[in-house]
Amino acid sequence: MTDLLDSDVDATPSRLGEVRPLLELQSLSVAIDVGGVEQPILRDVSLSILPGEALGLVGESGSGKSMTAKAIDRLLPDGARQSGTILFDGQDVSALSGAALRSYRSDVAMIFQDPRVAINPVRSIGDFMTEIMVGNRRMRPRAALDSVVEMLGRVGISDGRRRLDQYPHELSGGLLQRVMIASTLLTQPRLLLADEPTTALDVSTQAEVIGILSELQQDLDLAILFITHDLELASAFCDRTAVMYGGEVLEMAASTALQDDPLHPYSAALGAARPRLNERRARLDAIPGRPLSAVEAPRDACSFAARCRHRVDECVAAHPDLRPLEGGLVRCIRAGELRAARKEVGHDAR
Amino acid sequence: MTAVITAEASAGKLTRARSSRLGIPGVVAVVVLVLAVAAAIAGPYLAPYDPSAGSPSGAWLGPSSGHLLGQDVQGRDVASRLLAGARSSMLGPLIVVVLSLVMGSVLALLAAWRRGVVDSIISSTMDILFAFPGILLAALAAAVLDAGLWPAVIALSVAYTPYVARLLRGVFLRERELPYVAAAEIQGFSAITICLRHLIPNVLPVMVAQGTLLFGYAVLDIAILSYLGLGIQPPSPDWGVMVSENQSGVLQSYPLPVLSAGCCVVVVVVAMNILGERLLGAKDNER
Amino acid sequence: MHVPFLLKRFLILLATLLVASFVIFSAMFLAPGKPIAALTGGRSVSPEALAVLERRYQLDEPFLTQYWNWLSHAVRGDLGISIATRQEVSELIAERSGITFALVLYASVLIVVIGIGLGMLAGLRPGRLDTALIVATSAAAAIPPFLSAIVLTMIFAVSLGWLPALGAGDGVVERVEHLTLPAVALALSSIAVVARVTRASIRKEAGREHVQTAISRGVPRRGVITRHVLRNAAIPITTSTGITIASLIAVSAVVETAFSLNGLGQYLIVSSNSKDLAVVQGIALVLVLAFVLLNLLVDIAYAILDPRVNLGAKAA
Repeated sequence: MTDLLDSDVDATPSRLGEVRPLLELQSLSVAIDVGGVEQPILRDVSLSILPGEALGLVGESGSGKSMTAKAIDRLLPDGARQSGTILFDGQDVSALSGAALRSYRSDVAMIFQDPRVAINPVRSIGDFMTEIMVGNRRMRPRAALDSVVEMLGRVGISDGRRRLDQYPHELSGGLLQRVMIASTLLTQPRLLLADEPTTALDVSTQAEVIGILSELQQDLDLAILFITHDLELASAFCDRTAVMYGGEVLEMAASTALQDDPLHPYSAALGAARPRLNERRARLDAIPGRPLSAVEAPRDACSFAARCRHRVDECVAAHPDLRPLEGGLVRCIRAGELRAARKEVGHDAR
Repeated sequence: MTAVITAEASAGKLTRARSSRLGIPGVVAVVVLVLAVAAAIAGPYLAPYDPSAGSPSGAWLGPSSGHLLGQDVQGRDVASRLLAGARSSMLGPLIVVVLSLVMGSVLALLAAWRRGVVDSIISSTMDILFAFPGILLAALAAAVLDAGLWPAVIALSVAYTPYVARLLRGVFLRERELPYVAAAEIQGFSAITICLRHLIPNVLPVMVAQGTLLFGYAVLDIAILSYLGLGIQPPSPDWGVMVSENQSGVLQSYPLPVLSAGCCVVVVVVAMNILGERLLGAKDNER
Repeated sequence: MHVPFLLKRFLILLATLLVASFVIFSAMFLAPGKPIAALTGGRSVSPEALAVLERRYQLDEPFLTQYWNWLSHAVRGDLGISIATRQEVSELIAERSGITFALVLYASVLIVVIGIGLGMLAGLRPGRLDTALIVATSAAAAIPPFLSAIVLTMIFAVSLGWLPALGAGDGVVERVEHLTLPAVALALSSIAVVARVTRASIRKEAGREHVQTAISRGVPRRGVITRHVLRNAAIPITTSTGITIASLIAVSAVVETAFSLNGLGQYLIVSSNSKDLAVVQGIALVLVLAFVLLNLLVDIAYAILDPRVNLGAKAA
């Protein structure tokens, strides 16, 4: 945590221009100590989120997307070693402690995947919601409860007053996730870290929760880091999307571009592996092999090489850098060449 | 998903491999167990003196070259009595473990196999039996029968049965719900065949580990009962009896006979605990 | 709020008492020979006394009638007459229950204060103290109560002479002084057990995801620990401490014997050795009742601490 490497690597997209990012990760690397051996979890992750922007973070389990959110919120497990810089509003997050850290945490709120385990089961909803306002902001309990009821209304819970005395086990998963969202908004955060907020919910509730998040983002001008394994969901919800694999970012592009014109073979494969409503296909193109975690990923080769259809010898000769291409960033030495070839095939077909 | 699952699976394999190795405490525990069993079998023949022959003039005499651990309240050789006492101090607990394991696993198997009403009857009976501590049952048994090893053994076996039954019921239930059991049932194997061929062999490691832990507790409890006069009766050489016979020595600043008998009990109990926990892999649960 | 759960627990309590009384009563029929022989414990008794016993136990009636007769007397506090002392069993019990109660209470205080205290320290602060506690508790948990009684007597009564070794003493101060070594001997292994459970529960609760949520919301460390970690760990800690204390009721017999305390446990052993069956039955009944009542208290505490309890009862 303490050994911060100064890094002048600037991997933020140039098109961001002069607007100062709200959150900026510069070459963030995290390793944990497992039985005396340092094992990498995140490798050289650089991201930025503008005020009010929704950034998608897509990847399979073990790709490091949740760990990125944990690192941002300073929730890394004991013994994790972090290098690189996290800047929030220009301020170094790693340097924060005590009250400053707590106030940062209410600026950056986190929504967890499963509200059933993310909300203390033995405390009432009202108690859970008012904890910060009464404890940290010295609000009167009654005033706090009033604003809780109002906030519950904003996330579509009309009978908020009745919910205050209930316990988490008495609420459905969707309702509870809305309580979770409302509780994060009470501190008027500027950035919301949403870690697979709909994965643990029913399909019908998922759409509701996404709807609420989207509405709130516009109303409150919230920046959101939206973590999901669903590329299409990320594209629908986010302005830009980053694809993670093996603890590093393989591609970052505008969501529409990522969906229609993926630069990295992995992003393309992710898109192809998902069923589409407007196409009938006999078989989905599953990605061969299994996803690698950051621990297993090679250090001197492309981490996706083992599963890549377009692998050539150069892919396993050196670790590729994240390079700008077509307004996005991609970590593939053949990206330009493959894209050109794809365009040609596309023209021929037409 | 796959990455997580394989990672977890390999982690599980690792911890299992680690816990199957005994480690230094485990090896020490095995050595203690071997020594204790050897003493239980050959103790009476190894004893340098007749464990029952005392001399009033030798009472409370300290260690000497002839009597390594000194002499007790009646001038008997403490080391000889410890060796001779190993047999009764461990044979009783052994019977307790066998009886309670048999009764407990039969009840557990019945509850897990039949489920429903049978399960709730057995489970609530076990809940009720929890209200009877071993000492209480032993006191009742000693009051109506003649106090001795057998009433104590029976009382403890009954007192241990609900613990065994409750634990094994859970294990059997989990095993019974595995698909292979249903598959065997569809193939027409009888319940008894499935239990004998699959369920019991699969649960056997847990039973062995549990039996090891129980043996430790039983050594302790039999010693307690003998100390209280509800188990083996003096002047038979027995560790619990030795503590009670020589207790007056403590106030006369001669605690050696009491301490050596007490230490024998503690060493065996601790060894059994270590061994049982290693076998259960309980160390992983606590972390 | 928690009626279904507690009602169920109360019914189990009644069933337990019923079964316990039945077992305790029918024990006398296990004896070789006639039940009257079990009651007299093989003593030669005058024909008049025999007649009194026969009438009291209605030994010519069918078994269930005898049981009902015995139970209905017992419920009214009439537990029969000691064949050894010719006194009312209920009086003998009343004289001795104070010491046992004080001893178990004293030990309970030690367990709660020291056991939970040490467990909390070790649970909240991993490090050297934590490792030391693990080692110390695994040793202490294996020491049988008679051995801890002996070692404590050796050190504090014989060598140092700080505390008395035998008897119960008179007056409050002297009573506390006399009961200190017995209470420590009784509590020692339980302190170790409770410390370990407390430590493990705190560690387990501290690793829960909702604790991460609280931290991520900016709840100060003190609040995270008291309002989330300790609050939730209180449930398993209370339950296992309560059950541990309930189990001391029987173990007190060992400690009372070792320290020559004239309590219920020691009297149970003495009466059992002298085959005074009515007394053994009476004390057994009282001890089971105390055990069951303590367990009910644990259940009530559990229902108060855990809001999910009522749901569990409905599902069951």
